[in-house]
Amino acid sequence: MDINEVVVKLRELLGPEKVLSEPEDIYVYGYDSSIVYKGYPWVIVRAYSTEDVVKVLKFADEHVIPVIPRGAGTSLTGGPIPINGGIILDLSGMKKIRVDVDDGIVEAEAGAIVDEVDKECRKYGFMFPIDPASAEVATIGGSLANDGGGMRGARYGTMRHVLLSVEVVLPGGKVLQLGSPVYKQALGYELAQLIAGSEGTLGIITKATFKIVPLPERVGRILAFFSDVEDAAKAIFTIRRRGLNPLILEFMDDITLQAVDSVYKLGLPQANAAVLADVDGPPEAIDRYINTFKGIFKEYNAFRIDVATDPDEMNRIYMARKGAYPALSRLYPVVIIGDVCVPLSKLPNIVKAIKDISKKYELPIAAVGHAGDGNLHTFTGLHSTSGDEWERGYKANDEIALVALELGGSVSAEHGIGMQKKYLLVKELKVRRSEYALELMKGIKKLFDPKGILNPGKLFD
Amino acid sequence: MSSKDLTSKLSEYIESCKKCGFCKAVCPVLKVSDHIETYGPRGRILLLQGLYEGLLKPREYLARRLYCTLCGYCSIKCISGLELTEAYLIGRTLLTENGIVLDVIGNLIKSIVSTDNPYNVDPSIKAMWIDYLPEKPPTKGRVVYWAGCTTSIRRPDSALAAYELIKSLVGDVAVIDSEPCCGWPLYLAGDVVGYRSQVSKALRSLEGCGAGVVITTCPACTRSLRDKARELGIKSSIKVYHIVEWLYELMKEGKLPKLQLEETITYHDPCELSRHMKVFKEPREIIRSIQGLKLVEMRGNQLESNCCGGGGLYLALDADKSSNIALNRLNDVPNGVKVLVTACPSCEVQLNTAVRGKGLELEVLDISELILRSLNK
Ligand SMILES: Cc1cc2nc3c(=O)[nH]c(=O)nc-3n(C[C@H](O)[C@H](O)[C@H](O)COP(=O)(O)OP(=O)(O)OC[C@H]3O[C@@H](n4cnc5c(N)ncnc54)[C@H](O)[C@@H]3O)c2cc1C
Ligand code: SF4
Ligand code: SF4
Repeated sequence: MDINEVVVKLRELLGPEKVLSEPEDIYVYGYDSSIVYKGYPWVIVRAYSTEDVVKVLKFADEHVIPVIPRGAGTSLTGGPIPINGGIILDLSGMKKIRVDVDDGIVEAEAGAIVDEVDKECRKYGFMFPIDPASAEVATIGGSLANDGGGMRGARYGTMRHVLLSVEVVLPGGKVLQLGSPVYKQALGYELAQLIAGSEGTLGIITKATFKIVPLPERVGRILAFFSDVEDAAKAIFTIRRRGLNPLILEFMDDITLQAVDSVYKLGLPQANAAVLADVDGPPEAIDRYINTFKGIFKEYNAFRIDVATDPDEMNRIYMARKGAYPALSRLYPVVIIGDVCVPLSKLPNIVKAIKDISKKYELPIAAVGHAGDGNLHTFTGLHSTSGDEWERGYKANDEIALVALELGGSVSAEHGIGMQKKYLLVKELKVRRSEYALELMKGIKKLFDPKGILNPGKLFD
Repeated sequence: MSSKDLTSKLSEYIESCKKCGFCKAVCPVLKVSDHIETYGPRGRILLLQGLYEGLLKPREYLARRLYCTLCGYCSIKCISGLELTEAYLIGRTLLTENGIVLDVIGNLIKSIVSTDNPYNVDPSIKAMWIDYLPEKPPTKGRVVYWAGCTTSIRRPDSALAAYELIKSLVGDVAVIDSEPCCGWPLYLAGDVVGYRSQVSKALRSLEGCGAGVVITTCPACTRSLRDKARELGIKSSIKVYHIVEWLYELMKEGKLPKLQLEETITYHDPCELSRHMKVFKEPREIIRSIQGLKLVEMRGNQLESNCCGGGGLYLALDADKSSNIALNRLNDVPNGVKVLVTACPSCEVQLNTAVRGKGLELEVLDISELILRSLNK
C-alpha cells in the first residue's frame, strides 16, 4: 500500500479531521525533545478514544505499517521518532481523568497531562506521586511507557511503582486490561508491569489506574552548601542510614550552582556542592524534622544552611535546583541531558568522574541528582549540534553512562532507552552477564507484536 | 531589517530552541486546538525551522499555523529565555515578503489603507463616540486622548470614560479630528513597510495637533506609537502613555485625588500590557489605592496571566477558537466577583462577548471606567 492509499484509508476509517498529512504536520511530528533524532512519518492520526486506537491497530497490523505512539513528544531519547515512516498515533487528545478517593486511585487516559492529573488529585487532598520535571507537558501514556520518575522518586519510585492496571490495545486491535485497579493483586506474571518502560513497543496504552497519596500537611525546605562534595554525599547517606525519608533529596554540583546564580541572581555562595531536602509531616513536627536535617548537614561541615517554610521563600531556594536546566539552556544554545543511576554510596565517585570527563572533553558538564535514589542528571553545554564540540559532547555523555555502569549503576534511570541508548542497554546486560535478557525481551515483543509494527527500532534493533 | 537579517535572526531562535516543549504547557491556542503539536509554540518554532532549512515551502497552510494570539506566555515559560513572539513575527514578515498573505489578513490590510481602521468601517463611525461627549472636545492641544480603533469602534463607553477621566484630572484634553490607525495590525501581519508608513502618519497627525503628551486606553497603540516606532528609529518628541502608566505617574506625584468605591473586583492583565510592556504592578497599585475596594486576583495573573484570545490578529483568523480562549479565561474569575476590570479594549470585547455567551452576571470594565466611578463617589 502506498502512502497516499494509507492516508485515504485512514481518513475513511476515522474521519478526515483525525488524520493529518500536510508537509508541515509531517515535519513537526518528526521531532521530540532529543534534538539529534528526527524522522518523517507518513501520516499522523489523532486518537480520541480506545475505538480509534483499535481501528488504527487493526488496519496497521493487516497492512504491516509501523505505528509510533506519541504523547507530548518530550522524550529525550528519540522514543516517538518515526525511523522508517509509518503512522504516528498521537494520543494527546485522550485526556479524561477520574479520581476515586474512597479507593485511593486515579484513572487517567493516555493523553492526560501528568500535572493535570496531579491537580485533579489535589482537589481531593491527594497528589499524584510521580513528578517528572516535564510534568506540565508530558502525558500519562508517555511517562508510563518510559517509566518516568521525578524528584519524589526516593519515596515513591517511578511510574511502575504506582501503577495498578493499564488498558492496552495490541496490534490487530485486541483490547486488554492488564492488572487490576486494586492495591494488591496476585495474578501470575505481572503483565501491567511489562507495559511500564516498554516505550510503545508492546501495545498502545489507552488508560491506566494508579495509586494516589495524601498531600503532605506541611512541607519545610532546607538547602545546605558544602565545600567538599564528599561531605555532601556523606550527609546524604547519613540521612538514609538514620531512617529519614524526605519527600525530596536533591544534589547539585558547583557548575550547576554557578550557572543558576549567574542567571537567576539568587545570592548563592561559592560552593562545590549543595543538597536540597524537603521534609513533610504534621505542622508540629516540621521544626523538629528541619532541625534533624540541619544537624546532619552541620555534622558534615555545611557552611551555609537556608531554611524555608513560607511558599515564596521555598520557591526561591527551590530555584537552585529547578533552575539548573533553564540556566544552562540560557547559557548554551545546546544542552545534552544525561540520565544515569548509581548506588548511593558511589555518589562522590560519579561526581568526581564527571569532573574528570568534563576536563578531558573540555566541556562544561553540570551534575544534578535525585540524590535520594542515586539518579544523576548531567547537563552538557554546547554551542552547536555539529562539529567536533558536538561529537565530544556525545562521547562525554556516553562515557558518563559507562562510568555509572562500572560503579554498579545503570545507564538509564528514568528517560528510557529510545534510540539513543540501545547500545548502552546491550553493554549493561553484558556487564551483568545477562545478554540473554535481550533475547527474552525480543521474545516478549514477538508475543505482543508478531509483525513488529509497534515503534520499530526502539529499545533494540 | 532586510530579509537576510531577519533570516539570520530566525536562525538564532532555531539554534537556541532545545525542543523541550515546556512552552506548550501554557499556550492558549494549543489548548483550544486539542494539543495538536503544529498549533503550539514548539510546533511554530519547528515550522520556522523547516522554512529556514528550505524543507517547508512558504504557503498558506504554514502561514495559518504562524498565527496565534502572540500572548507571549510561551516566552515566559521558555527554558532558553527566548522572546518567541519575535520569532513568530519574523516568520509572518518573511511569508508576507514571499507574497503569502492570508485572505482575512489581506482584507484587514486593505481596510486600514481604505478606511484607516482594521474594521473596515467608515471613519465617521469610528469618530462617533465623540458626539456623545457633553461638549465638543478641542482638536488641538498639548494633552491628547488617543482612543484607537478598537476602543472607538467596539468599546465607545470606555473611550467616553477615559476622556472624562483625563479631563477631570488635567482640564483640557484634545481629540484628533479623524484619528488614523496606529498601524499595529500591519506590524502583526508582517507588513513592516506598511506599518512604518502608517505609524509615521499617526505620529504626524498627533504632531499636527500640537500634542506633547498622548494618553491612550489601548496597549497595542502604546506599543505601536511609542515602543516599536522608537525601535525602528521613527523619531517623535511626543510622550505616549498607556492610561495605566499615566495614572500611575500622577499617583506617584500625589496628583491623583482620593478614590473610593465599595466593590469587589478582579483584574485581567492584558498580554500586551503585562507580558510585553511589563506593566502589571502599576494597575494593582492604582486599584489598591481605591478605598473600600477589594481586589481578588484571577487564577493566572501578572506575567502568568492567561490570554483572552483577542491578540495577534488571531480573532480575524479563527473567531471560534479565539472565543473559546476567552471562555477558558472566564474559568479563572474568582467566585463571587461581579466586576472584571482590565486595561485593553480587545480584552474587554473578548471577555464581554464570552460573559454574554455564558450568561454570567459579570460586568467587564476598562480601568478608566473603574477610576471614573471611584472619583465620582
Ligand atoms: C526538559 C525535560 C525534563 C525532563 N524531566 C524528566 C523527569 O524529571 N523525569 C522523567 O522521567 N522524564 C523526564 N523527561 C523526559 C520525558 O519528559 C518523559 O519521558 C515523559 O514522561 C515522556 O512523556 P511524553 O508524553 O512526552 O511522551 P513521548 O515523548 O511522546 O513518548 C515517550 C515514549 O513513550 C511512547 N508512548 C507515548 N505514548 C504512549 C502510549 N499511549 N502508549 C504506548 N507508548 C506510548 C512513545 O512511543 C515513546 O517511546 C524530561 C524531558 C525534558 C525535555
Ligand atoms: S504567543 Fe501565546 S498563543 Fe502564541 S504560541 Fe506563545 S503561548 Fe501560544
Ligand atoms: S520552551 Fe523554549 S527551548 Fe523549549 S521548546 Fe519551547 S521554545 Fe524551544
